[in-house]
Amino acid sequence: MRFATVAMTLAAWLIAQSAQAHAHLEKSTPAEGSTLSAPPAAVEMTFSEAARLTALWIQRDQEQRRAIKDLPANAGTVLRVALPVLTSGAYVLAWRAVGADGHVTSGVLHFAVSPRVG
Amino acid sequence: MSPDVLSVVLRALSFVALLQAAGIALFMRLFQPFLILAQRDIRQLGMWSAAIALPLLIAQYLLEPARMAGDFSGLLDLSLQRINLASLAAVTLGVRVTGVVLILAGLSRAGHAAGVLGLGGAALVAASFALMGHTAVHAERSWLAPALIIHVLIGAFWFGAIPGLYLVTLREAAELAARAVAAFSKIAIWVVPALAVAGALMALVLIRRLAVFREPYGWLLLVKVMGFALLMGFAAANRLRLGPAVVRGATRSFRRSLAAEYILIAGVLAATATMTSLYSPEP
Repeated sequence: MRFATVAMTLAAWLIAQSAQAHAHLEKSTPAEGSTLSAPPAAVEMTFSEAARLTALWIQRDQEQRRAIKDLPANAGTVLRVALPVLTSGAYVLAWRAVGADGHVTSGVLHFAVSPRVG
Repeated sequence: MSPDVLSVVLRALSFVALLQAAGIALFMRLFQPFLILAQRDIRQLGMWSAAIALPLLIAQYLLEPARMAGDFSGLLDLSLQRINLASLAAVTLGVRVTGVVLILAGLSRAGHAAGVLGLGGAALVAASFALMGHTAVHAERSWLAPALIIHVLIGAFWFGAIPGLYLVTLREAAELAARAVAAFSKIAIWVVPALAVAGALMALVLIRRLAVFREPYGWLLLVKVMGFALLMGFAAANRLRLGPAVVRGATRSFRRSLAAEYILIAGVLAATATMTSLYSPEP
């Protein structure tokens, strides 16, 4: 019984050492809440851990959101995704990603394109 | 219903079934001398809990591609299914399923070897909680992960003891039931505070911003703390008044208190499932 207890405790501790954590968005370009004078050709997202984007949508003002299909095939802490041609307006970029641990995280990024800026 | 909401529901239900199965395996091993007439019912309840946990765990795992996609079309997306299979979510599922199978094997028969199998299964189930999540990646992981495992194991012990003691006071002779209740109290008085200490230590290390208590993660953590405080009230009443009355055959109030504890712990597990599925202590 004592050996079984020690063995199980050790196995449990060893299993626990292998784990990872949630990935969350640390910064992005365009930055959250930014207003740009020219539409960005791509979005660059920096995560706290290596993450793989699994879904990305862009929505302009009250229009229907559009899925962006061409996502990076590999995980990374910095991910760059080409955007479709954007016009002036307020945009919401909604994303979902999975971290190395398998946890799904999600978020939204707001930015605007206004030629009058700058 | 969105995949996220369904995932939280499945996760909460799986926590209840999983911890009940693990807890009953622990209860059977620790309280065997007090189980004569109640043994079969408790064993069957544990096996049913384990059997229900299995499809819940698998369903929650299979739903993950839908969460990745943001809608249920992800269920049919082979590339997302491959990502899921390569992730630690698959490893966690494997460890949990192995734990549940060991618990089933351990509860399906009596004897020392079966008891060890059940204990092993309970330990694996507890360890699986440290395979994913904030606790496990932190720089202080070497002691945070064991703290989480202890936290979960004691939670399972408590949760499994509730239906165990319920059935003991229902089926066994008053004197034997009273001895079982007293034996539980002797253990609980040490391990339940340890559960709180483990939880508090993890919170102190993981929560670096007071602003988190203005966010859903912090609110749900406070729900857990309030739930625990209420549970302590019930536990005190059981220890000081209702438990000692069992020897006189006054078991109805004790069982009502146990039922209330069970509902509270299930609520705490639901809060845990929600906060760990959808939110993070980081900004």
